[in-house]
Amino acid sequence: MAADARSQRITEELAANAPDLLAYFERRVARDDAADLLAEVMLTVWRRADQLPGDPVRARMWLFVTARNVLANAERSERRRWRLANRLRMMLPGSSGAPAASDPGEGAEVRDAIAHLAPELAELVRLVHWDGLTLAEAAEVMEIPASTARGRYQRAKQELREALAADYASR
Amino acid sequence: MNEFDPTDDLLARSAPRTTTVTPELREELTRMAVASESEQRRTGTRRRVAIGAGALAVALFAGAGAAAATGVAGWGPWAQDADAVYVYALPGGDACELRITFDDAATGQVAREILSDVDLGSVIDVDGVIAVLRAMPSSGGDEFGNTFDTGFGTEFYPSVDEEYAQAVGIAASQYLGERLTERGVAGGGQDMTWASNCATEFDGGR
Repeated sequence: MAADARSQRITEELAANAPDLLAYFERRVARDDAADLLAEVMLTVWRRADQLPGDPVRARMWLFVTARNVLANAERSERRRWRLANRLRMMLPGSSGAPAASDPGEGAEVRDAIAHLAPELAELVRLVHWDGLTLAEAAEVMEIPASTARGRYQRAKQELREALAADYASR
Repeated sequence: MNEFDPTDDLLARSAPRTTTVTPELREELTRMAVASESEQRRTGTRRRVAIGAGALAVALFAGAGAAAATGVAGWGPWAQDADAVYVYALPGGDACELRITFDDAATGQVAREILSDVDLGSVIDVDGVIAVLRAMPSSGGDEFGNTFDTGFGTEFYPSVDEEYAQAVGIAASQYLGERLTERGVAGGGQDMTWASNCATEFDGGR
């Protein structure tokens, strides 16, 4: 593929998936951090451009895998501020403060129950119910077999039912 | 997931609110997608930057306990026992410290051995890398599809200090990459995390 065509395709994939990737980060970290993590995903994609799958669906999943890895790496290293994200950071409401996921209000007790699951179960639930991925897609993003994802998902749902039932019973 | 499960409804409604995608936001995301290509070329590779050098270098610490040499305040957990810690001065006079930790501990050990008996200042070519950076074509774009030159001599090109720090990282990472490859460590085995603390913080541009 010619360099110009390749650049155009990468740009189009990034632009098409950027809203969902931004939402992915907004559901997990503070909004100003979400802007920088999105910028980091974009920079990472250009660095690993030769790995971008040709199929748009596979490319979208690969972008989510990249986002997940960027988030994991950010949790154990310095949080970086990218100039690329300066404008976006200012456009996001409530850019400073707590992560959106910790906001009080509707669903707070459910989010709390999710947070108390084992990390691999919690992320599976978030990918399916917050990010709108199918279970098969979530398995791909988490780089686990679909059968493993199904088992984990059933376990997560059972633990959530029990936790939420106990939560409501205690009121 | 075919049967109705009230838990599904609760889970769906628990999703934290995200920013509404307005036309303005979509435009900005598209601008970022376009600009990220040239930005990546400008900022270099995060996971490949390492070790400074040159005539301005003032010290090199490598090996076990290296982090203790310059203090650990302000660094994340990953850098507390870095495989290499390097202190050098920018052309403007400010001090910088770079720390490198390889993802793979075995690679980190090999890197420590490499750095234990090497004077990086004498083996890497910072000026040569700067010459390459200045000769490298670079362009950016905006949300309207306009493209513009972002290379050397334009307002978008890094400052002298940032250019120097970038060149130091590139030259040293090339050196380290070559030495690791010679020792059979290649590809993803060379992945590293690095960060730099400088008296003057770069914002990624001038």
